[in-house]
Amino acid sequence: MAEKKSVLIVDDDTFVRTTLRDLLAEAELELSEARDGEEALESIQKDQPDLVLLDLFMPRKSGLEILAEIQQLSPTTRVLVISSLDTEAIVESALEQGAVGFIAKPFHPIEILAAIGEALN
Amino acid sequence: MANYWIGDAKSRVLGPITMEALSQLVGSGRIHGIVKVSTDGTNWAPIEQYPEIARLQAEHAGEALRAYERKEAQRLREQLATMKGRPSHEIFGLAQDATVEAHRAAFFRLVKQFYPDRLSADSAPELRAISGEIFLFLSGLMASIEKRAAAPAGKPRPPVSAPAAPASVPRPPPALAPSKSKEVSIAAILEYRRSPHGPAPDEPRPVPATPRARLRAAAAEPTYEPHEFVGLERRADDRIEVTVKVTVATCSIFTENKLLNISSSGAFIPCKQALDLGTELDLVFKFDKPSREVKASGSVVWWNAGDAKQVRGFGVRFKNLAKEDRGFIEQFVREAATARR
Repeated sequence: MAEKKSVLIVDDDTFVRTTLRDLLAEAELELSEARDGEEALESIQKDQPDLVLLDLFMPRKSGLEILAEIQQLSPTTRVLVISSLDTEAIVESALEQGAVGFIAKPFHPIEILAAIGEALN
Repeated sequence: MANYWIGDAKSRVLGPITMEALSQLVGSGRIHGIVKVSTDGTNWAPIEQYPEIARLQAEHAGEALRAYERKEAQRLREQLATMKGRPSHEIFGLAQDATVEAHRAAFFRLVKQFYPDRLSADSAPELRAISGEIFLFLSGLMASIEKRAAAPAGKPRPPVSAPAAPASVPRPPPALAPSKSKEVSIAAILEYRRSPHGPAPDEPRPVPATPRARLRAAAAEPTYEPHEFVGLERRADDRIEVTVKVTVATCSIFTENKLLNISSSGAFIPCKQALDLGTELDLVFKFDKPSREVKASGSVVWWNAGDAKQVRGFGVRFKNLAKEDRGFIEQFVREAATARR
């Protein structure tokens, strides 16, 4: 049996983390969460998830810094940024640093499920 | 080029970003309330020590911002007028034979610019109003495209066009209406006087009660209405205001299924609009006899979807009710109960 893919949800907003968990509840995925940038880095280093759903504006460490470090910590991990800071410069910066996609908040379930499916395949 | 890290009152940080990126973020209202700045992500100083950033933030606040927003509202109203009557693929910038998936992607890119809650609570009412109108216009268009795509094959499928002006563009629901803040209208309570059980007849589809049910419904059969979009954090200045008139006839103490239940610790407020658990509320109770206005803040602690026996609405727990107001409510409720016997 194929191993379950792992997804780390990184967001300081409990509502967003719960929403994403609810959306992915029926998928065959190993889900984990982090509430801030430092927690996220620890989790990435320890678990090397297949995919990180990454907020940018968070306590303790910015999502942009995590993006820069993730390549060293876990080169095979893919990152999908989910943020309301969808200005041209920020989107460009995130994609240049290796994010596979940028979903602007607020997001629609159909949109986020499609993006996660694409990022995992 | 200097890089900055910025932080807000919630200790959230963002960086490194250039001044140009920061200008875009502040100018578009994506970021506000910067309180600290750093140039290395480690050593922080109050924003006042970085005049270039303090100035940027000041330029995008107050009357200057309101004037810009009013102008922007006018521009968007003209943009909406040009959209009406055009084929959907043109509005979304696609080829005529574009797939439904391509339409979705283009729709999501476009519609989020008009999500009203992306604007701060004190933004120009005109801008909130037109943003809501365009959002609903585009949502309706996308829902039509989905419906057409799901229709049985074999029948001729005319291209989806936007309704021509003056289109029956749905007016913003209460949550999108131009106002300083979102309001759960007293009209909702009045509707329940006429139809106390379940949603009002003009409601196209009931909103599922729980966030999880709403997510599933949105994924399975999307309407693309605002409540299906999630992920925007509620801002501290974007609390929902609720004004409720309390009379002896509408008041009870959680013992009967009346229009309003109130006690000194909380209240049940009938309302057809679903609210997420934890939603912060500013409440004003206007008592009639004796006349008194009681203000309290609270949060939604439960939601009742409503059925044949129960009224649809939400339960609020008070957070900071003044001692004298608490005493007044207890007295009012006691007297109201006596009066009903």
